[in-house]
Amino acid sequence: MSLKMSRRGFVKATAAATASTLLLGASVTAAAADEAADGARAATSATPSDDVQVIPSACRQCYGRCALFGHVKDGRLVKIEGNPDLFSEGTLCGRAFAIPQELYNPLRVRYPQKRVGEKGSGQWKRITWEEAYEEARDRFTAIGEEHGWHTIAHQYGTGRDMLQFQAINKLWLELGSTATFGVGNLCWVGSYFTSQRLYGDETQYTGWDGNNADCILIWCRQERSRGYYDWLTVKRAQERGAKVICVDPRYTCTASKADLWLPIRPGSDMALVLAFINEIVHSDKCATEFARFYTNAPFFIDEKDAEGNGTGYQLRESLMKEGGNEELYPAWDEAHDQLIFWNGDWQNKKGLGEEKVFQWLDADGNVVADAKPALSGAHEIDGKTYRTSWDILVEHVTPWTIERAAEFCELPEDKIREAIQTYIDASPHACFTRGQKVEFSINTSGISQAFTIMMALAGNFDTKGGQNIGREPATGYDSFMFDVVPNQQGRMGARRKETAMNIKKLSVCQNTGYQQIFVADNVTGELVETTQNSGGQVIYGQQGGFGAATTKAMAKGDPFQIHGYWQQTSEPILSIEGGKEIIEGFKNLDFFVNVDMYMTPSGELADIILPAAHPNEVDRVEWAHSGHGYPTSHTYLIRQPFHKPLGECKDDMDICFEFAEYMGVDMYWKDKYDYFNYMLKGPATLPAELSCADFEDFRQRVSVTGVEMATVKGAPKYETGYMRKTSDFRPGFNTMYRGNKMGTVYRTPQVTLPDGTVIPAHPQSDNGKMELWSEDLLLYGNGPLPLYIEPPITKRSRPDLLEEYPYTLITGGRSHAFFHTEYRNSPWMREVHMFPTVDINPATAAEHGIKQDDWVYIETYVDRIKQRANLTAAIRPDTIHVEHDWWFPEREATDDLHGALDSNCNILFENNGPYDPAVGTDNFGGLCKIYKAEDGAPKNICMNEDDLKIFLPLSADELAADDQQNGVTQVTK
Amino acid sequence: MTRNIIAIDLDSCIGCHSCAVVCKQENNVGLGTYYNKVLTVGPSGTYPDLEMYYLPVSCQHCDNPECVSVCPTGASYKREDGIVLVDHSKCIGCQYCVMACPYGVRTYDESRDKGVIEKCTLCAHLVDAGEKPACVKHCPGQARLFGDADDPESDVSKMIARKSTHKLTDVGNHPGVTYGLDKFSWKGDE
Repeated sequence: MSLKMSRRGFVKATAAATASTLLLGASVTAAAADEAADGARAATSATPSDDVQVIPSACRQCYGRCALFGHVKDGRLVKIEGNPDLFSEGTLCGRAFAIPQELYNPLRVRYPQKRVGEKGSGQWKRITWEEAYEEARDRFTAIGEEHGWHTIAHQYGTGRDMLQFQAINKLWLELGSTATFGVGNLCWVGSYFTSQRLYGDETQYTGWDGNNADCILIWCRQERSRGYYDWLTVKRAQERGAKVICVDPRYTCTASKADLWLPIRPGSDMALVLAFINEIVHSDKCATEFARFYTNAPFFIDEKDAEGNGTGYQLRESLMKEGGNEELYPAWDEAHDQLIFWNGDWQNKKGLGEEKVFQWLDADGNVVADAKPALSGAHEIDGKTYRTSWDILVEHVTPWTIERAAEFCELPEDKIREAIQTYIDASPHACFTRGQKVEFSINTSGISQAFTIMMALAGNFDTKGGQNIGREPATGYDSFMFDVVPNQQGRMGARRKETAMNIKKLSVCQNTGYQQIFVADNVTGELVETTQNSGGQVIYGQQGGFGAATTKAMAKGDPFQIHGYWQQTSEPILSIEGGKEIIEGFKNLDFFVNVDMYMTPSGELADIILPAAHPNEVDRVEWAHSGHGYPTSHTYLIRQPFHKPLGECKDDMDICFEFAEYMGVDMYWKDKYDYFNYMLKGPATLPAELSCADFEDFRQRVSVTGVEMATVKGAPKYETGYMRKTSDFRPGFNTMYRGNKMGTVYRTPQVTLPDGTVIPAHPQSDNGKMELWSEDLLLYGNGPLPLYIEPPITKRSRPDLLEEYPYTLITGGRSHAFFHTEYRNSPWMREVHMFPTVDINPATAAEHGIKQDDWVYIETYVDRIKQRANLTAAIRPDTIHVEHDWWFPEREATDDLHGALDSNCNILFENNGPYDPAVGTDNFGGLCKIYKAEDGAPKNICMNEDDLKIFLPLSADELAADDQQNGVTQVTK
Repeated sequence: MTRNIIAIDLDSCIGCHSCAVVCKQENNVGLGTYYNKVLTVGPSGTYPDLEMYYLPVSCQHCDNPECVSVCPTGASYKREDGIVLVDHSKCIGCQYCVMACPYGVRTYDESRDKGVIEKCTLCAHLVDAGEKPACVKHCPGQARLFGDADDPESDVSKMIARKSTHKLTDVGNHPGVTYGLDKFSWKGDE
């Protein structure tokens, strides 16, 4: 493999490079130490730069994608250094320096393996790639032909990269697989899905313009969990005088840095967002003209009356008269006192004339150029009175006063008032961002909708210092084109099409049905037990299943038995609720292929392991996945290898392309470079300086930064047509994702509700208007407006549990030493954070005789786990926080699958619903008790730094000496 | 005269341990040995009225280093530019300096050179090459600053002029590392 260095790289290469002996391998340490003659012994045999290559690349240790250089000597990575020329400004967090420890880790799987003992026995034998692919082809084909291809599930992990995910998904959708455990519905997808349906993009994790903001509202997000350069943005904003507000139940790093901290009761976030919206709509800062001209706020709603008459949908001409147009939405024109109709028929299917598309028309079909649709006011049409969706929204949020939010969130009213006022005062230069924890709820799509309404009505969409609402990739093309282009070209395979058509029979989600939830009555604020129709649980536009549904299919054959499974760099046993049932499911499988860098708990239950290359052994186009303003948000940078993959490891993407050939799948793209070239070249209209000839050109350039259209055009993108992905450049939003697209199937229309009524069929609403009141979410079961739903296991929803389980249990706060399940086998990261740690208030600890560093049991009505106590005032006395994704790679496969159960917080929760009706997110919090573990630490785990030596990188000689004929040699302490 | 010091803006420090880890890479520090540790001070107070900051602690490169005075062989020494170092060719591993150091930032490493003292070198090898210490270069909060305390235009002097500054407890050794902290009260004396 040839590694060309960029021009920039050559400049950097003149810096003296150092060769850390720790990275080179323990065996040469003594020799290097001898060279340390003076006190400035640098670890380093400070070699001249001639034999050290300095390679610019990107970090993949979290989502941040910081820019870095790898120093490579004799084909081995010896040092990581920050790249000061890009958005991370040369800074790097500790995890970047663990890259060499990952590359040369003794637990790395370097050759394909086939299991030769029982599942979980840890007995493996090396096979060739050809043997592995052939067996996988034959076994999967046999399952597909005998049981149907939908009985093969597939899965990918978070944070690997979006291009890899595209390849995996394309391969398996073409093969007819439907079920996945999901990864996105634990984080981001709730927000992404909802925002896509409402206006076509996402701006809750990303896109916040802290560079120009006067207020940054940070909701349950850590400054040091991913993309640490975000903190530079935040602190500079503070130094400029911007106010930072943190909403978090825990006194986190972010809370300590914020100007105002709202220590919210876990799970009550919706009450606070509704109070924000309420104060915004009643303030003179409310973006009413935006609502009037760019949202569906003026549309009339065909509300159901007491007798059940009315569809509940937005009113359309088709509902007013026989043969009426489904895409004509009536509203009242204040300018001319007349009924007008929004023509949302962007494809002009009904022949109203293309020039009339996305315009207001009068009753005769003439364009009313100066129409002023009324936000407020009921009107009688043909004997029925209709209200606008704006009036219904305002009525919905008005009871959510600061006083009510204070009661639900257990917050002081004055702090809420100050936070809301600060946000409103700073708007339209106020930005918002949040972390995953708000998303770990059965109301994830509802809360994402509420945040959207909050940002939009505060006037912060596409403003300086607000939210950059449309992702603008550097060249105009993003990772999703990987699948979009072939589908546009009519190259979707027959099996994939057929599967999409029959998804109701082929999806594992079909039995999710109705569920009982606690909803706050809007008028009284009382929690009322309510039946919710669960709407379809989609992931990325495919009705793919979610953790619990796929688990039930594998473990219980409900609604059908899953027989085959392809998993790529993911660990559901640790990351999905009900881990023990997932193990049961994996044991039921006829055939399971796992692609990973290491032997993992679920990998031990696989039939074949395919060795994945490390992210710094492959070529990729990368971009910052964290939140940020321009130019970070508009930059592509290269991730290129420091050396070729160890042993016979292969790039995840290459594995997909190669296996596709074995399976006869048309991937459309010849290989990954074929797609990279397309993505980097961009459309023909792209200015030459932004367009790369191909990937090799990009390699020379290292990075490309695109332009911000709102700045270039001097107007928000929804005004200039740059939000539209249909290339029609019409003002408005991108609403192409609404409705029955890409295999998504609504479950609700034409379904009979428990009360016997039948939900009417539903027309599309791809009308260019942002939905505040959302017809799409109504169809998914959420209801059209965000509801306050109390999580299923809290002191308010389950007072019956309180006597035995008195503490509120929250999980999954991000760690700066790890990235989900990763780096437990990195000696430096484990040095930073050795043990799974439970946070407990000192007063609570004292009541139970728990002292600092005691091992304790945390027990719910489902199960119990063990973690080590950290006594801290950062948490309320009635709340306990446990860390997520803990396993112990230092334990044998036969020792509870590498210790996957002792400290794994996701076994504390059941997986029987309720779930978010749209994306299937489960509940990851509850009630618990806590008590000292008299039996101390889990067995066989590393207890001190000395124990961690087992994880030190192998030397080149050591690597060469073990060709893994009998699997990966387990290291134990 | 040059007086190289580290100054740390604690209001910018997010306690991410990057400085502790990059130090291990740059200086080949073994497991269990730390040139640099990041402490969490607090949270103090009662929930939700709390204060917390992070405190990276390494060799303070004191003006009047006790470790140098007690060293029987002259292995511990202070350079002209203020950096305190240990010459391993002279160090006999007696650990007097370990006992003398008020901050516990020196470690005896028996695996190296038949047993010697290890500690932060301020990346003297990089400083001599005109670079900044590795922890300063990579600090995600850009909280760690390095430069000449006698030069009013240096990053460290500017931070010191701008913020409330503090030092670890001084028992006559005059610690060189300066901490800036405006948001919360300094608890380093407790």
